[in-house]
Amino acid sequence: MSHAFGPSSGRQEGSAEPPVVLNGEPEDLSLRLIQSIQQGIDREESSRQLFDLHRARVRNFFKKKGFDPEEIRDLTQDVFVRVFQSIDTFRGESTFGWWLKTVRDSVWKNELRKRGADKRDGVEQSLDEPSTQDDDSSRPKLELAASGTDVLEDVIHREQLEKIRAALRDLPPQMRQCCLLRYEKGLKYQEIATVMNLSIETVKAHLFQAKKRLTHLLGDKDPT
Amino acid sequence: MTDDRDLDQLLGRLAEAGRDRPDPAEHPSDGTLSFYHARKLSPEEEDRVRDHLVECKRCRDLLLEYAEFMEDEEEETPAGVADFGAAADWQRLRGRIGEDGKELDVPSSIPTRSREERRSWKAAYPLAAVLAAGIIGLTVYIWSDRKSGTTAQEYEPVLLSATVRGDRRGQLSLAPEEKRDIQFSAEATGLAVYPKYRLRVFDANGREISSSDSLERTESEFRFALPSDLFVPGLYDFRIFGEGKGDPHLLEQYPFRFKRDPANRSGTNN
Repeated sequence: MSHAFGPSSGRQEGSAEPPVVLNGEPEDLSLRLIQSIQQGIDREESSRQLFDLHRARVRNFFKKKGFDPEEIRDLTQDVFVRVFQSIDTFRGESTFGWWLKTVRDSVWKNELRKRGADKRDGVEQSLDEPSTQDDDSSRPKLELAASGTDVLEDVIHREQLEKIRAALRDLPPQMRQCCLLRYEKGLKYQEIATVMNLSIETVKAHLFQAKKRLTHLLGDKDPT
Repeated sequence: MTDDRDLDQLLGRLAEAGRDRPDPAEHPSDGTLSFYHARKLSPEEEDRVRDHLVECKRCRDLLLEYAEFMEDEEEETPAGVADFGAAADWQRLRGRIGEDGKELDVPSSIPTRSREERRSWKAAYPLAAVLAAGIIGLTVYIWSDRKSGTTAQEYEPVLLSATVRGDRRGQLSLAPEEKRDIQFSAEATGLAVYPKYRLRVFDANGREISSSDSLERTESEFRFALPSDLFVPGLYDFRIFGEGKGDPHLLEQYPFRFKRDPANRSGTNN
């Protein structure tokens, strides 16, 4: 008996059921799925879950690189074909995510090579200037310090550098490292949080406290 | 007491000095960096890696790039829109893996083409629009290697009988002039047991276009009649849900591509 079919209200379904995350860590889930695949247990379902777990991040990478939707789909496919073809060789010497990133980079670079988009290293040569065989001619020449004023400035700068470094050494280790990453290396708060494996709030708190302490330390050590 | 301007000046010296400092000669392995990000190292190892990262631009950049990749897991689809592409991508991937000799447990069902062939096919598709005439009473037999459990299983759609000329494997054809029903049937016996079942049909944008009544499994197969004017040429997803306590559970899904066949205008109703 056929059952009648009626028009629906046009409601939209939510996204597909997400894979079960066993203990809140996608990496741990990836490892369990890989183990199942390698042991031939529920290979189909485990492969599908692994694909679902990582498909979006691979697609987003190619999207950011400016590929069109069909290319994104194809390149993502290429990545996962390679992953599943060589999944038995994954030995856990890195996280699965890192291994996946390596495969992704390889597919990306191959694609660039196919398109002839590799950048060649080389010294730029102006057409208006005679060419020379000497590589050093393409580099800017060092300028010598011309006056005593510059030498004095260098000395002052070195003293100031030593002063701030000495003050930093008095800070607790994590606070000092956050300062170095922020003020010496120029990282953003989120980048510092990633490098230090801290929350962004902790990073901000460290930097706020560090400035207060450094202001105090440098003031105490300043004889003027 | 040093004021803020003095401190900023001093910190500026730090930035100048740090710009040209070379990276250390030795680095932790890529694996160690990945485990550092995943917090899988011992506290002592973590401190060593952290000390290195403060000094080494190369390793910082690697770590930041990896972290960005791992944290970028959201698909940019509007809220509430089904991820229609994921299922199709998985089907295609299975086909490719099967062809390359690394079989999964279920045979591949999706024919594959090279990227160039797909592009030329896609370019020809608008030109190859076909009209199906007199399509009534198509029956699609769904075969799948079912396992126990309630997860959706893979399948290979096989067109057993049709009133259209030629073999429309996995496709249903429309008779726009005659507006007759299309029949879809699916084997019921292999599905997990639920109090009720429902068929819902989605278009390529994940929009639900039709839904059956809630059914009990009284026969060996479900049969549904759909009005043909519900569809325009394109890709649709037919999904069977089990309904019981809690949210409906997706049991099976069958993508179909509808197209018109200008050559076949005199089909009969079987």
